[in-house]
Amino acid sequence: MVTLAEISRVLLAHPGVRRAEAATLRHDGKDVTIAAVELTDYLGGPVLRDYVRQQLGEDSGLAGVLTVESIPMNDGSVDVAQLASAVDDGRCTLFESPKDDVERRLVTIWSEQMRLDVESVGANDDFLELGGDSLSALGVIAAIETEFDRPLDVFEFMSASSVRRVADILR
Amino acid sequence: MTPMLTVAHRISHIARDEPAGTALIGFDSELAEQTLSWQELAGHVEETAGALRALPGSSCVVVEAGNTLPAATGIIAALAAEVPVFPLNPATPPAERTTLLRLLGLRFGQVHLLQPDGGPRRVDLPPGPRTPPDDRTAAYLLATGGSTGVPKIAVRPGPLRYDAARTPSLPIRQTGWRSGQRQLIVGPLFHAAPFTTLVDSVLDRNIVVLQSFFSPQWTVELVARHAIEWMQLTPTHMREILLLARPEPASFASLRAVLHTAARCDPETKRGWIDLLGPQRLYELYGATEGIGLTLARGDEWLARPGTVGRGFLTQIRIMDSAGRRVAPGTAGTVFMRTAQPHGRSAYVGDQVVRTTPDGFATVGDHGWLDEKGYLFLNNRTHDLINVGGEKVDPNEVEAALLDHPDVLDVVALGVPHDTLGSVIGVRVVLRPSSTVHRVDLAAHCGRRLAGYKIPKQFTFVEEIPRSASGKIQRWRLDTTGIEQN
Repeated sequence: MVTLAEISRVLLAHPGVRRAEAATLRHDGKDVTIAAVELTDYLGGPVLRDYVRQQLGEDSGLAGVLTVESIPMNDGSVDVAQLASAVDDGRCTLFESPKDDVERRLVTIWSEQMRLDVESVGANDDFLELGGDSLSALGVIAAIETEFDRPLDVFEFMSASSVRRVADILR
Repeated sequence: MTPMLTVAHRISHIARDEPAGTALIGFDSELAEQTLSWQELAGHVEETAGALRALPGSSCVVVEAGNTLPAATGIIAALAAEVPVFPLNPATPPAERTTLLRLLGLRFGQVHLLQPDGGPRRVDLPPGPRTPPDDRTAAYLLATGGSTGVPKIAVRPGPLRYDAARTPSLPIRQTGWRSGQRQLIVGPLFHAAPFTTLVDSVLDRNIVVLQSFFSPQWTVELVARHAIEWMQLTPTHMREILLLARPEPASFASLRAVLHTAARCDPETKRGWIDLLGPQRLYELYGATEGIGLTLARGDEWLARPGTVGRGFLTQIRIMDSAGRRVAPGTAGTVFMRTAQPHGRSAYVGDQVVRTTPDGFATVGDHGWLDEKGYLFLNNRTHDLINVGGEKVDPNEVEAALLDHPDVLDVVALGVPHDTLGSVIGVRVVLRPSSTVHRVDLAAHCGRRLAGYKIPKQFTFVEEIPRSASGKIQRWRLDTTGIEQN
């Protein structure tokens, strides 16, 4: 099992990260591990989550990374309650596997167009936070149009921006 | 992946493929038309680029950027040589020119001015405190209206590369742009939009016609004569073309699209152009600064929602209140945007005007609101930069120039509505009690310190300027309706 300190150490080794603290908290009746980071260059939370997964393997257990201006502290340690509220209000996206065939097909398209592993793409991850650029956006849209045989507007795609919300449009 | 080419390679490839094809059309001082073929352009570019490559590594080159063939060639040559280039308004008064050259000197070890013969000449800069040279390479630098009363320079990181999928950028391709098209450049090359349009169009094998100065009738004539397919205009160009040239739709039959950017377009002008071109050939682009995000609105979208600047293109938009909370559709707040290239942002030398959030959204401080369908509407802000015919004027800079006069005690600069320019600068001035200075003296004083469009057109003498306890001018307490027309 990977320790919280190991996760923080791996994140700190990333050139865009200035400070990192990992913590475990209760969410939906489960223990989840998330990290809060201060950045020198903008990076999406899911990009850093995936970076840790690549360094430490699938069992790193890191569910999400919250990017903040300054890490909330309470009595010398990271303020877990604040991290929990960031998860609750959607500022910190937790990794989720695709739940049905539509989502699995979308995850495959995402990963092919963005040159990522299938395991890197969470169903709720925002396309831009996952590191998508304008060319891969057009690539994803074109691939969805072919795969699902229906037009998808660029604006519609960018507004939905996650596998799950795009799947809602397609279903 | 599409291959990335250097500017030098791209120009020589086009010249090899179609040596006799037309690259650039311009006008000399007698307004005689001159044409450069791709082979000729490539030859001139290579000659000048050779001289620029011999400069020390920390150099930048300044081009006097009138809309002429030598200026366009010089700009392309600097990009080919990968020496950072700064297009300078040739009419910049000496004091402002010195300020700009010194700003460049803070960033680069040597500043060179491109001579008419195509060779660089080093500019002598007065000794001063040196900040360490920035090691990032820049492709080009552009003067921009700042917010603190001093001219500022925006930097486009380089080196520039040609990439068929990204030259021009995706949003510009959405506005009817086609490779190899015939394009008219109306705005001055020392402005961001015409400058980037020139660079993109040369790399994208356009036939470019450079209008050497703006005259509405001439623009209409050039579009018809050269069967122009695409052009970018400011709302001021659009107003003057409508009011002064009164074109027939037939004279614009060749146009696939007109794109307008820069200032807000008034509804009357917008409708006039939609009548002229039809709603599908008119596009508006609102983009705060390169890399933050942008919106696009075609004429038909604008007709359905008059006043909108469109929806985000590959851009997510959030309206936030002053506490940083996201607000609902219909509620006004600060416009934040997030787009796909967070690293392509223009940086301002020595100052940061962009505010960012930890999750990658950024704002330049514009205010507005979104409707339920995601269309963005911008609100006017009275304390913003003043837009004089597409030129952003910082009121602080005008005030600073006037405060430099020994008889001026206090001053405030305001935008005053103007029929064709949108607004001009008006000032309210508090003079020393014993002063006998006249308006014309103050105008002359400004003329020695400021570019023409920044010189106040209206002077009003007042007893006092409303200021807050902290000394800030309370601009909302000033309205422009009472200013005398003299």
